[in-house]
Amino acid sequence: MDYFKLKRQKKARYNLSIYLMIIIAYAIIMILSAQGKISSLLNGLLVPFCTYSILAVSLNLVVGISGELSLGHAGFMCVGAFTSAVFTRYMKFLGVEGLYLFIIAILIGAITAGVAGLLIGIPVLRLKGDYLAIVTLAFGEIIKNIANAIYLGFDENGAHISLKNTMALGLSKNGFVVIKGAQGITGTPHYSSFTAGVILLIIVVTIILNLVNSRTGRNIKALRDNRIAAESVGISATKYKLIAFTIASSMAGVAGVLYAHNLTTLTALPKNFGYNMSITILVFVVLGGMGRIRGSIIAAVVLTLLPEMLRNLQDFRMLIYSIVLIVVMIFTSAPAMKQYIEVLKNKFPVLNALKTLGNKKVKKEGK
Amino acid sequence: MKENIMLSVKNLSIQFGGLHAVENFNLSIRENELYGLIGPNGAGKTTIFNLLTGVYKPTSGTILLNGVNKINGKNTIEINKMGIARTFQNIRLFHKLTVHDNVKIALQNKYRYSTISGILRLPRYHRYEALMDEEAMALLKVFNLENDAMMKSANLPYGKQRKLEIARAIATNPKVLLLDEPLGALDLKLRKEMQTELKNIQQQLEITFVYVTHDQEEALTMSDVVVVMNNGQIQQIGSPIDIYNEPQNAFVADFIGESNIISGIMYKDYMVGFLGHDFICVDKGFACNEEVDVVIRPEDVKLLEVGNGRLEGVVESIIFKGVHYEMKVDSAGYSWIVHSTLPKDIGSLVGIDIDPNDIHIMKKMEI
Amino acid sequence: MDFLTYFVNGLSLGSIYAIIALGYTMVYGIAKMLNFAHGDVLMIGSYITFVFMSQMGINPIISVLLAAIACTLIGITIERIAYKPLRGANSLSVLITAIGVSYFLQNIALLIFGANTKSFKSIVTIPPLKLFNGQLMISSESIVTIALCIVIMLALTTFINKTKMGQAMLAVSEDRSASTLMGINVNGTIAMTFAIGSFLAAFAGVLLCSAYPTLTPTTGAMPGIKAFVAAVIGGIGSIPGAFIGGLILGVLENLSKAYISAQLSDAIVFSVLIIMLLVKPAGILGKSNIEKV
Repeated sequence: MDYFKLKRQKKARYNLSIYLMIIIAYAIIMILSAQGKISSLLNGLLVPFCTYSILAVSLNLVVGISGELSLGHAGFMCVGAFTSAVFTRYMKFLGVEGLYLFIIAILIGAITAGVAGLLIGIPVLRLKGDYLAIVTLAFGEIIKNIANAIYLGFDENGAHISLKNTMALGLSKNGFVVIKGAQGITGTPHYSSFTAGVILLIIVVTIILNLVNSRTGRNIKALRDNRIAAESVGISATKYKLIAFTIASSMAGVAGVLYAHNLTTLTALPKNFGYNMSITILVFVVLGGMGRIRGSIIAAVVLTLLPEMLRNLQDFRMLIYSIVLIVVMIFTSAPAMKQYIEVLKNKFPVLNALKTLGNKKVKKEGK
Repeated sequence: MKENIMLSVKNLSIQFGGLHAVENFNLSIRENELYGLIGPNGAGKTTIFNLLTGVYKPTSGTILLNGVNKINGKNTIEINKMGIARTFQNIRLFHKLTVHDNVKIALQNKYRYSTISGILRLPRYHRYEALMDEEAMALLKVFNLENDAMMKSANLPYGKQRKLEIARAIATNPKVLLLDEPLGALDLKLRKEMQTELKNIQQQLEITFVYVTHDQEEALTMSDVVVVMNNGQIQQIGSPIDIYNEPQNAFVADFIGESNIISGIMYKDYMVGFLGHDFICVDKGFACNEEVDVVIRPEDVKLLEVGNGRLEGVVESIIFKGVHYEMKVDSAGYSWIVHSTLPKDIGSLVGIDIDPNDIHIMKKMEI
Repeated sequence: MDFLTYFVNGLSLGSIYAIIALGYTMVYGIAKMLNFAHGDVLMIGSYITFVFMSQMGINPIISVLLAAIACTLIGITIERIAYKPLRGANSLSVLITAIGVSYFLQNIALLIFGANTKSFKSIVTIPPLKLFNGQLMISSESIVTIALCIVIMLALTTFINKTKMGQAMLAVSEDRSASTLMGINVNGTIAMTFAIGSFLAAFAGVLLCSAYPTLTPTTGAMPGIKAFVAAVIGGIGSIPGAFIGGLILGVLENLSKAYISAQLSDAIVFSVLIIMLLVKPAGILGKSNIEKV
């Protein structure tokens, strides 16, 4: 059975490469940071790298592995961010602080976002393709909208919720308003750090890799490739699509926790939890390669860095970003371009070696 | 022959709009036999499969597995777990997955372990994965696919894809396997090989096979029982020999083998008149002077020297068909199809005669 | 009377959504792609009108027509450069490209016109209509918008049903490869669809900015998304569907803003989309296709 050995080795090598990549990057940054060679700009990006990588990896489970187009991923991040921040902020008000609260906050974020994913997934996953895209986008917007309109406070009688204003909460004088409508949550404890982010990223990557290479993951991939055939061999489409969606939502929730505890003020803006954010994550996934975990992480880091690197170009930077996006898509996905690349490869066999190095994902995307 | 009824279908009907796609379908399928479901395009063969696997819900009728378990009303997944598996007319593989994984996925209901065991890599995961790996490989060996195990299933040659689809269906451990044109679009040589291979596999695994084809020769050579369908209704059920020698109506006769069908009048028992002559035959039980269809197989038409037969005709065309010649012989306005190993020249005058045993009398078809 | 005012304003907003939705629905029906950048073409159209009208002092009507022509050219150019090379690629790549185009247009506008809000002068100068002794006042923008929407609707329906080009569009939306075999210029037809959609977007932009006179580079984004929602509610690919969906959405948005919560009106609108799709997945006038086994 050397076949299984070979297959396992290949998989193990790929998985190892992901972990090594993360750990080496972490080590380099830590060493540079110890020597004080990290610019404050880069320093500010370290936690976002982890946040966006977690988001991209988890969305890849839905879009790449499960084959469903979701444009509402930021909504689940929003759920995780707000629920966990409510917890830590209120604890801070009560005078309780400590890193162990961060671990509880992560669990809270993961569970609430997972539940939100489950509740939304049940009705929605019956829809396909662009319809699913628009409905998930709608859900993301609804979540953001509610997060923007909600007032939440606590007093000795428990939690008070209102959609109007602080006064409508009717808190006693000992009460404390945690979410102040559009002003969001202020004074969230700063628990997130690059180390915490990297640990979370490694955990998320492990969960997703293990899932993908197990019975559940294979069933999810089978449903993506051919739903009717999958059902004919006894795989429930609803169940496995829902599992993928719920786990991905839950991981997005974790990213939300990381995000929320990296800022002092948490508000639900279009640019952090709106569909624009969901789209940004989707761009990471698509450019990183569908179903490719390593690619998602690289794309998330590079594309987060790119606009910042272009910062001295000021207004031109997003313009350049958009042109890069269009050009990359045309170069990697246009049928004519692919033919041309094939022709080039036949002419110059050297290019085939390049393919094994990094071009694999290019080939995959077009399918 | 064993008399255990595996699957019994009673009064099954389905309508699409006003169209009766299947009407009053009654069939009892015995254990471990190979059933050939045959009929022209649009006869309702695939619809029967879709009804048996829960893709469509019947308008009326019942389907029982093992005489007790009601199947109609259940969904595809439940039906697969009860023991009915199928393949598809257009191959439906999990095309991005390897050949081995395609089969492994179908084993997933036998070796169930939870998503959590998969993510946490609990002992159950390792044990069951190893079992699945081996069982899938063993099954691939039965189909001679073991050397392609690592290949992506989309890259398999067409014939092997067909085989893989059958292997995958068998992996779900079915009691009844429904094959929808398993040998469709294969070249003749491969088709013949696969016919023998399928028959061997069926005997080796002792599974009831029902398979759809519109190739009558294939149905006759492979099946234990042939079911002829037309316009959603069963025309005849019987052994290949019965179907060939004793077709119940002109449709079956014509469909099973190209036939000469001539209008005639049954004067009395054992006496029929057609093309202006009276013939002795072996059929009885028709009303006096009833209009009937007279069916004569091309190979039963004897071409003799002029004057020796009761009919005379002119050879209009001749085609060499490998073993025999196919000739068209015009006799008093009727064009006979004749198969014979002895060629006649075009334009030559011949005598025609038929043995009483070779004259099949059938009720007039209502068209 | 308040209710009627909100209702009429809703119809007016809905008419704008309907005009934008037409562009979405036609492109989706014919090119089978979600043109995310459609809302941004609208924004560009508004800026061009703004420049001609407010900065160069050209007659409003002529300004709008010039903007419409410019948008048509922009629409065709976008299709040629960004979408045409990707014909036959998977839909996700096309979607990401459309998003890229959307970012591009927004940032071009940012670069040329700056980030600060431009206050858009309404192009409509006729006085508002007063009914019921002045209790119900219908703004002139509303009247023009609703009227223009109906005219566009009728013209487009006639165009599709009566002209050769329109029939070609129908054919391409049914079956692209068969249309190619029948000698229809598929590329030309798709370009034409983009041209019409972008032409209409310019009008929608001007009407939108006349009613809500703030113009920024992201003005088109949310109305674009909502118009797509309208197209989906009405049944994507259907022209009357876009009209109905747009009106429903506009009225709903205005009524929920007035009676429930201004902040939650978007959430309410999107909830309706979700409920609608769960009840009738193909939309009000859409055709549902059954997967063949």
